[in-house]
Amino acid sequence: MSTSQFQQLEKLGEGTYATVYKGRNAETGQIVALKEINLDSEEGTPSTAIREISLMKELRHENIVTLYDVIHTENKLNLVFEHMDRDLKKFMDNYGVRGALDRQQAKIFMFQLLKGVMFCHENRVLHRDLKPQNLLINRKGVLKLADFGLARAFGIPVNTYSNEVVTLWYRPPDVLLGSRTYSTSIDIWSAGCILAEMLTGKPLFPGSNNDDQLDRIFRIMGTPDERTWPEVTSLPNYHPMSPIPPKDLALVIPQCDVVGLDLIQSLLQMRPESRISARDALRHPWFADLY
Amino acid sequence: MAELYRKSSQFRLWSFDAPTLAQMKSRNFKRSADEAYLDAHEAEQLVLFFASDKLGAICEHLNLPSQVRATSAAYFRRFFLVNSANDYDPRLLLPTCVFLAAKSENCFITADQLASSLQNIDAQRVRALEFELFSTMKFTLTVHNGLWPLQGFFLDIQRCTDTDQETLAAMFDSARKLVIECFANDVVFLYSPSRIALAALMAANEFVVTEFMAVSMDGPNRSLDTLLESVHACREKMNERSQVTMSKEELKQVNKKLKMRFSPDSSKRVKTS
Ligand SMILES: Nc1ncnc2c1ncn2[C@@H]1O[C@H](COP(=O)(O)OP(=O)(O)O)[C@@H](O)[C@H]1O
Ligand SMILES: [Mg+2]
Repeated sequence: MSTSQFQQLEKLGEGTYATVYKGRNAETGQIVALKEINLDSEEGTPSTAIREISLMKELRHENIVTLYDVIHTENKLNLVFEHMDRDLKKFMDNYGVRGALDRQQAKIFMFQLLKGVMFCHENRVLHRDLKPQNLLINRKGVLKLADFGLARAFGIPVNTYSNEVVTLWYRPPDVLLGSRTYSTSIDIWSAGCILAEMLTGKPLFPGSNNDDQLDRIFRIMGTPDERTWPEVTSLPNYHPMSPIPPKDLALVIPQCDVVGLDLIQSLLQMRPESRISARDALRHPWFADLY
Repeated sequence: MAELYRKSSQFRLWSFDAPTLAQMKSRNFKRSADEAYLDAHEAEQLVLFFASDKLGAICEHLNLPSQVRATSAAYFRRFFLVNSANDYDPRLLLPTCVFLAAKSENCFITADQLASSLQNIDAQRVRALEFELFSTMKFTLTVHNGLWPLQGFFLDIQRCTDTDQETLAAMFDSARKLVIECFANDVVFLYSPSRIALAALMAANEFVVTEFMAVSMDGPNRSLDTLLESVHACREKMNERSQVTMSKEELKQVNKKLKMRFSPDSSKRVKTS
C-alpha cells in the first residue's frame, strides 16, 4: 500500500506531534483521517507513534477511534484512522453557547467518554492525555477516544509544535505534586475536568505552569492536609500552604444539577484512591435516564 | 486475565496449533542446488540460536530488561515465520527487533548504542528494516509474556499454601529463569502466557503447584485433568529450553553459509533489505 492510494484532502487538525489530514481512498471512495508522522532520521519511528499503534491494535471498542492501517513513505508514516467529524473542543466552539453544551448533550458525551475509559482501564491501558482535543465526535454524535501514545511514551523528546504545548489543565493534583504511583485515577480526574468544561464552556483549571495549576485546583477544591489525604505532605512537590476551604461546586458550575454535581465531586476527589472508578461512575444516578 | 489475552492481537494473529506452526515454518523453503541456500532445518536452528543466545548476549551487554528481551524474541520469531532466512539476513533483523521492541516497551535505546554493541552493523542498517518488520507483523506490537502471570500465580500460591517462604522463593526464581529461557521457544506460539507461567512453576515445584491447582482451579466449569494435561504438555516443550539442538560446530557451518549468502559480492543473489 502507498499513500497514493489515498488522495490527501484538507487539514483536519494539528496536535502535539502530528498533523491530521482528511483522505479519500482512490479505489473505494472511503473517507479516512491520515495522521502524518515525521520519521526521525536518527531514531526511525518515534516512540510516541509506536505506543499509539501498538495500543490501537489491541483496543477495539465503539468509543475508541479505529486504526485501519499504517502506511510508510520515504520519510513519513501515515496512520489511517476512521474519519471523525471534529474534536470535542471544536464541537463546543461550534455548537455550544459560548462554548457550553446543554446538559443532556454533555451527559451523553460524558457517558460515552466513561465507557471508552472503562474499556481502556479493563485492558490495563491508561490514556493519560484526556482532553477535549483528543476526544472526537462523528456525524452520528458518537464520541470516541483518540490520540493514544503521547502521554505514555517517554525517551527522546519529539518535535512539538509551538502553537500547542502539552497541557497541564487536565492533570490531577497527585501527579502535579510529584506522585509517580498514579494509575487509572489519572484519567478519572481528566474526565471530571472535561465534564465541568462541557457544562460551563470554559476549562475548569487553566493553569499556566505546575505551581499555578496546583494553585487553581486548591482555590476551588480546597487545600489537602494529612486528614483529608493521608501522606500528601510527603509527596515530592508538596509545600506547606495556608489552608483554603473548598468552594461550593454549585457556584463554580451553576449549569449543573445537584445529581450531576455529585458525580463531578466523585470524579474530582483530590486523593487519588478516593476517586470513583469509570465502572462505578457509569452507574451514577445522573445517567439514570440514559439506560 | 485469560479473557484479556483472548482479545489480544497475539491470540488473534500469533497463536497457532502445532500442525499450523509446523506448516508455517516450512512453507518458505524449496529445494535448491545453491550451496548457500539454507534448508528449513538449518534456517530454523539459526533463527532459534539468534533468538536465544545472540539476543541474550545483546540484552545483557546493553542491560535491557527481560520485558524487552521477550518482546524482541517474539518479533524475531514472528518475522521468520512469515519470511525466510534466505531472503532476510537474521544478523540484521535481530538488532532491528531489539530497536523496535525497546521503543514499544518504553525503554529507549538509540540505534547508535545498539549498533556499537554489535560487530559489523551500523545504525543506518538497524533502522532500515524497521518498517519491514513493523508491517510484516501487521503492526501488532504488544507482546504478552509469561512473567506477568507468573507474578500473579506466585501471589495466589503464597496465599493458599503452608509451604515455607524459602521453598517458595526458590520455586519462583527457578520458574522465572525458565520462562526467560523459553522466550524463543515454540511455546510462545502454542500456549497462552498464563499456561506458560503455570508450566514453569510446575517444573520448579510439582508438588506445591499440583496442590495449588487442585485447590483453586477445579470447578464445575472446567476439568482439572484437561488443564493439567495441557500444563504438562507445555512443560515438556519448555524442557527443550531454546530448542537449539545443533552443536556449536554445526551452527558454525550454517553461519558460514549465511555469510556466503549475504556477503556483498553475492548481492545479486538476494535482496538484503
Ligand atoms: N480520526 C480523526 N478524524 C478527524 N479529526 C481528527 C482525527 N484524528 C485527529 N483529528 C484532529 O487532529 C488533531 C490532532 O490529532 P491527534 O491524534 O490528537 O494528534 P497529536 O498526537 O499530535 O495531538 C485532533 O485534535 C483532531 O482535531
Ligand atoms: Mg492530540
